Amino acid sequence: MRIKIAIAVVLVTGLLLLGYAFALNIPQTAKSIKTGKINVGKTTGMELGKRFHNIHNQALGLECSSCHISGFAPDYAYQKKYKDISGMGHVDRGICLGCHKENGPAITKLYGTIEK
Amino acid sequence: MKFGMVIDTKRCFGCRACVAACKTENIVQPGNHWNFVLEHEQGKYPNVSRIFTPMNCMHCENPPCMKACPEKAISKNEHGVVMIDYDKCKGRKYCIAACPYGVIHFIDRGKAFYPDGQKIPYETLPIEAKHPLHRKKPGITEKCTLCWHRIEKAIKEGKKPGSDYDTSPACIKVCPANARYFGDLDDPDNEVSRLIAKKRAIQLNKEYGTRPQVFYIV
Repeated sequence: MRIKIAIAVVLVTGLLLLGYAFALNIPQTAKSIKTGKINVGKTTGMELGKRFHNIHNQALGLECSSCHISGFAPDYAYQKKYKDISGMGHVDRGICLGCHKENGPAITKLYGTIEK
Repeated sequence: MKFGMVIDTKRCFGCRACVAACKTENIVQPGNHWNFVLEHEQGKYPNVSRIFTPMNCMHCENPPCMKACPEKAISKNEHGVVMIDYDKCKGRKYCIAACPYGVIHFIDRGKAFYPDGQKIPYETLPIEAKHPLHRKKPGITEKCTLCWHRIEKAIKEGKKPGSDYDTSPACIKVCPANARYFGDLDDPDNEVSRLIAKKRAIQLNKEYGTRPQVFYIV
């Protein structure tokens, strides 16, 4: 039992540290993209090979499944339908919110401060 | 004046009259919907109910689509209406990705209203004959304009926007359940402001800090 708890603690701590390291790295990556140290191309667009995917997929390493799921083929980056009244809204942009909120690490602050 | 909407999900029974009215009023591209209704069930059998949530552009006070657009083609006017400049839009779709409500759509090339590909009479009109908000073309994005062409006309004619069918967005007065309300959010005596206060209407996805101007009674 103790061994299991120890393994769980180590795993959770490792994941937290990994997340922290990733969060620390994002502002630096964002700056490098902005200054041109990381080349993400000059053509803006959502298509593969253009800036959007070059930034999010190649430079930041976001998985395809972070934004896309099957079953929503006609649309772009539809993640999920809302499941209950508290989560109303057509799609979940939670993954974008993580970096693009007002005090987030992304350069482009798309969203405002989180209102409670 | 800052225009907004209140949608009463307790009254909406999902007839989609608003969807049809919007489609015809704004000649919305086949496959796209400026107005659509989401459905979901709640409860456990046998005590279940179905909730209908009509969706359209929230005309956010802090619109992420506007910030995301690399062409600066999206703007918010002095009355709080968020609109796309079809001349500036290059169809990059960043606005679609940024919108947490999924209400912006891309106009695909080669989609026709009639099955045989023939143009509808409105499409054959010269571009100057159309309102700037109806001068859409394939390869750009589109979304609800809060029927700005109607509101703008009402303001010019000295009428109160929202007072009758012609001065309201097309989706409002067609609602047979009176589930949709439109008016000036800045006026505390306006019906929308009173409803927001009295019924404790909520904004969707509040956590994004977008501050939508469409409120929902749930």
